[in-house]
Amino acid sequence: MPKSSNLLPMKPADLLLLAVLQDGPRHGYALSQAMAERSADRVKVRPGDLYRVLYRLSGQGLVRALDPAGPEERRKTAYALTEKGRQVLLEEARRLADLSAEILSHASTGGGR
Amino acid sequence: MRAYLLALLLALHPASFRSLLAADLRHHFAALSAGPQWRMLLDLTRNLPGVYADQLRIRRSTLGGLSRPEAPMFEMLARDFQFAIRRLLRAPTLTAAATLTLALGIGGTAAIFSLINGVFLEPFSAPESHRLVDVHELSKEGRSLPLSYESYLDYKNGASSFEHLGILRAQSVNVTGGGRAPERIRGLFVTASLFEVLDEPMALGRGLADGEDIPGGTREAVISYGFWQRRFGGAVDVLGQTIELNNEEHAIVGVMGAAHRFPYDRTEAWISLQTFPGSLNRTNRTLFTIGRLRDGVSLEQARAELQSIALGLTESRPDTHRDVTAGAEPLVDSMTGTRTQTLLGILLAAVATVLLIGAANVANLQLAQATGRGREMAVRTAVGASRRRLLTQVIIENLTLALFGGIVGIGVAYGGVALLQRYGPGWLGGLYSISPDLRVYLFALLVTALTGLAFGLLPAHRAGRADLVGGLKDGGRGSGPARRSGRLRGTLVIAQTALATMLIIGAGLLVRSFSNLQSVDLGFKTEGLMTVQFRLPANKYESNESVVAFFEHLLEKVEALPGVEAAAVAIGMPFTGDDGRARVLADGVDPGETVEVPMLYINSVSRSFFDTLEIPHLAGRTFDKTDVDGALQVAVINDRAADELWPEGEDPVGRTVGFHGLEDQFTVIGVVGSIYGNSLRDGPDPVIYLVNTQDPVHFSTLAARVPSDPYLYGPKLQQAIWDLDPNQPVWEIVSQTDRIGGSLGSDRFVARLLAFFAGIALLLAAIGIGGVVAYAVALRKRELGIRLSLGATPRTIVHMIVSQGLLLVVAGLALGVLGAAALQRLMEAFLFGVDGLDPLSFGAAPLVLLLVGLLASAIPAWRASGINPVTTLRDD
Repeated sequence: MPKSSNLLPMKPADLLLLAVLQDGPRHGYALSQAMAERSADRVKVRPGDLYRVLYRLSGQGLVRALDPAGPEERRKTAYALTEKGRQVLLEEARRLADLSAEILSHASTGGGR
Repeated sequence: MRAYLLALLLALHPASFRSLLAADLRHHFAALSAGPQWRMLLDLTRNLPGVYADQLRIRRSTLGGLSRPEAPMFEMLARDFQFAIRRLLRAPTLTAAATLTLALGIGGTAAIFSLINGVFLEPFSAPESHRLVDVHELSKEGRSLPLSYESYLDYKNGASSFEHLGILRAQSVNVTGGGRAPERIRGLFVTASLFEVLDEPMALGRGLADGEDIPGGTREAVISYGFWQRRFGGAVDVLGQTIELNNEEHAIVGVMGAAHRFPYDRTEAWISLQTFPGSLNRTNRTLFTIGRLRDGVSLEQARAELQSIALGLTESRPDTHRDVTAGAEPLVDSMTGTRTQTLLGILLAAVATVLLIGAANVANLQLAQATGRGREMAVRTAVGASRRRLLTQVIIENLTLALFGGIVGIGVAYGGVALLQRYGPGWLGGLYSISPDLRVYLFALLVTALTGLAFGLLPAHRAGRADLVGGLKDGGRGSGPARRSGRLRGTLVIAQTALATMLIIGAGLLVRSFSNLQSVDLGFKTEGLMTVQFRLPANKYESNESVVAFFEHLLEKVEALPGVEAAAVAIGMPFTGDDGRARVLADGVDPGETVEVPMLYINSVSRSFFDTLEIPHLAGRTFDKTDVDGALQVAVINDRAADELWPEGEDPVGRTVGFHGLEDQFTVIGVVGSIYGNSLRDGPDPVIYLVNTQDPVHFSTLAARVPSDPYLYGPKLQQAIWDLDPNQPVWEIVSQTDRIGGSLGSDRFVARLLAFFAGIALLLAAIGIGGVVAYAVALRKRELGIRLSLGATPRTIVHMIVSQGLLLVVAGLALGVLGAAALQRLMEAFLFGVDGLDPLSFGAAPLVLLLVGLLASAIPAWRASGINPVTTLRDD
């Protein structure tokens, strides 16, 4: 098992990127479009930042590059979740869910000031 | 541009980043529009340190937590860099001001360096151009003499220091035929060996072949890449086609490479020297010779060998080679000349001064901030940051700021070079390669780094000495350190005022000199004179009679044009640069070896020349209709020539003049006023005028005296020539006023550029002075508040503050005046009618700076006088 605990909590951009890749591999341009759409522009990841995030995630072993396919000049690299990436994503989602549940329970009992 | 920046940025990323992401990133980039592309470039730049930090983290984790020893250092630098960028962006106005200041200095310096690079470092396209040398003979006085064809052969056969020697002679040629308008292009008459000297790749075909360059050889030509594109549309089958040059068919055997570059010359056709009239005359010294040194042979060795050959010639041919030696110098040196070198030196010094003044401003800004950051530094020291750490951080901040300036500066350099090419003197346009290249970028980088260190070291030093207790106690408003820094900043203001003073004095001298040049009385009326040039082809107008007839018909036609008051032709119209000189013998007597025979200008003119130019007629008569071929050979001389030939003051009319090496004698029939013909600096030239009915020359400038805008008459003059011969190219259709203006190009250029630099220096100095005074006021707000509350009037406050500011300015002025006086020798080569210590320039410059200094310190002082003592005292 990978030691994923030290990767948590994740930055919003990292989390969003992994979440989008859940639907299948994507190359950079499509990724940035999907991320904007998925978060309804709440998490802003500009193109120049996207590649740093990809670099970091691939360094952590959460994302890998697929070998490019297609005719020479239209060749693009697509990125996919690794198994470790999938687990870390789920773990983070679980952690966030627990956290939300915890907060919401306090909100209903404590209320106001 | 953007794609280029992206490539550059990617190259700066770690290899692992590139291999994983670069291809996709490029696709993504290409899919964006310009705005988002810029955004992406900025983000990538900003993320760069982070990417390196990520890389280190990744590597460390894969190494099992063991980090390599250099890693933290690098990471720290990356973090400092990021921190610096963030800090700089937090004060955008200040950063932008500092960036612009530095960019102007760095960019300006790089632009001037581009000129130097183009003129001295990369003037030729020939490979290993440092091996190209100018070979010449030297007179007893050490003057460089062109070679005759005969001595060229002697050196070529005798000298083993050279791989090849070749001759070149520039002269325009007429291009006719092909069913197109006749045109005139720059030709270079050369020996076949010149192509071996240059040793450059051709775009097509070959150079002239050996054997073509001797009389009777086939007529062949090499054309330039540009001419090939223009006239032949770049057709590949151009080889073997013929072209009509000077009315002779020439077979095209080669096209020069597109990158071919030879200074001050835009040659479009290379033609065999054999077709150059008189070039093979064995005793004519007219040939410019260049050679390529053999690999490993030094210039000194080549010189020694040439001298020994010259020694042999002195013995074997005493008639032409008495007291003559031979010499060689690098081609670059002989083609640029000391005046250009001085000019570029002055410009570089001026622009570097602007950079220094700008850097002083930025240093001042940094010092002010450093004082303000006393508390930050103290806190960081207290929590354990080492002094070295703080120093590194401050230096990185300054280098980052300098880097901003450098990047913007490259843009400034590009713009500057474009402006220089557009508005600079003609010879700049003749240089093909003054656009910034790698060498210029490296230079800019070096200047940037040096600037960063120059303005950064003082604040860094200050930061390193952060006073822990004091800094924490008084909240960084600082009394002790602030006062020390105040002194430092004062010194900087003194220095920049001094530099600005020097620059303004220098600019003042050059502007005065330029206006003197413009107001010189030239001895003839320049306004309302239109001129055009043409050369009658010698093989079409073979006899003297045909040339004379052409001129007579032309002048009749032109004088009949409505509005034209008078018209003349001459080989040497003033400021065309077309003039011949010869050794002239008074009374036709050769005084022998012991007396120096004067070299005078010879001009062949139509009889209407003096009236058309309105040159005053002083004695005797001028040329008339009786002065024809076969009649008494006559000459008109000007009063300067009279002084040179008969220094005792005898009446020249009726005396004779002869020319060294010529049998003919010419009787002086009249004396006219002297005019400036070549250079406004050198004064009027001594001239012997011959009449073109007796001494016709194929090359001519036609001039017409007209009542209104001369340019209205340009097309009419051209048409008059075409009416006589539709195949006759005509060029340089320019008014006489513009001709003279053109000769002032360099002077106007330097004067304007220096005035521009001086203006910037003044502005920067004003900002510097104002900034220091304003900061001093801010630091002393409390004190001023107390003074005001104790009864000081706003007037006394203003007085106190302004006088402190002015004290710095006056100290700077004194230093600057001294500095300018010390440097005046350098300027003297460029001055005309102005003393190097011109009281006006030396007086006006300090006055202007004093006024500016007064204004710059008055504004903060006036603000200070409005301080409300109650709020200032309560502020703490």
